[in-house]
Amino acid sequence: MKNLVLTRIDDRLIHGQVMTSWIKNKGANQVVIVDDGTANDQYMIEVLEMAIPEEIAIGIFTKEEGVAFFSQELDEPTILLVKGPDVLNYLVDNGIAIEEVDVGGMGTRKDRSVLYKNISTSAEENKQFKSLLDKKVNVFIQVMPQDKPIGIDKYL
Amino acid sequence: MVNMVIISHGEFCEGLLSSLKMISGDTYGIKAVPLVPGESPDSYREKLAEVLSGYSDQESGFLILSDIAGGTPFQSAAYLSKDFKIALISGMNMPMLLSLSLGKTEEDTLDSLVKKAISKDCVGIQSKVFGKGEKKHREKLSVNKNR
Repeated sequence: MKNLVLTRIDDRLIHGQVMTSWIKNKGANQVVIVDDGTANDQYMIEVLEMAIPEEIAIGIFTKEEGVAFFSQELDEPTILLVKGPDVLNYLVDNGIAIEEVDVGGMGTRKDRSVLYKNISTSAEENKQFKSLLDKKVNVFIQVMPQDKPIGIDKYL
Repeated sequence: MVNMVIISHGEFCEGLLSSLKMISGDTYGIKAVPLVPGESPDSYREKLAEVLSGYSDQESGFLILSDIAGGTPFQSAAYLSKDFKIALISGMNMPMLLSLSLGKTEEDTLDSLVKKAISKDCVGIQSKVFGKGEKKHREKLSVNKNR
């Protein structure tokens, strides 16, 4: 969709200098996080607000609010940040046009194993990625703007 | 007495702690909690909370030094201020850690330590550009003042 300059999966969400370099690289001036847990955690919201440059507008929404937000046109260059692929399937299934997804950070967890370098996924998350690919969404791994994007399909 | 914990991306904090021990001979009850590569923010936050809970004096609070503002260690510590009394400083370095650990007294509070930590003397950055083979021009005193 127009003005959606980056859709990124990063379980660290807004992450200091990493996020700052993406914001510069993409010329974004607003960041939207769609994550139920974060949207319902006022304390976490305040922490995230500390971690992002002041001139950047920030929206933190639940899945349902996310659909409502992206169903309207975006007035400004926007970065969409989520923690995992399931939310993106939900948005796409609800009519939001997401053409490509950057997998930037998925850390290790008990239920996850290494997919590629420092990106780890669970069996369920791999299924979610396949489902995104089935919907013709281009999914690639790229941690920093200067990295070369790597298609995720051959690792699933 | 205020507890001190140092946190970082990777082993930086552990390295600082071992350098502190090398310089001063002690680690003063300071604990280092590194975020290891690939570790998720949730699991790091749990690990940090566990370390903080292990200190017997919770009332005086925690002075937490972190490597960079906004990163996962920093955000995790900021979040834990929900359950713990915390003062958080980013941009930690060796002179800062050294002056704080050596200079900390029973009377110090989180506020007084934060003030100390960010003072120019404590941060301790000095610089001089040396020209190749350049000599110092210091006035030399001689034993016989009248010569």
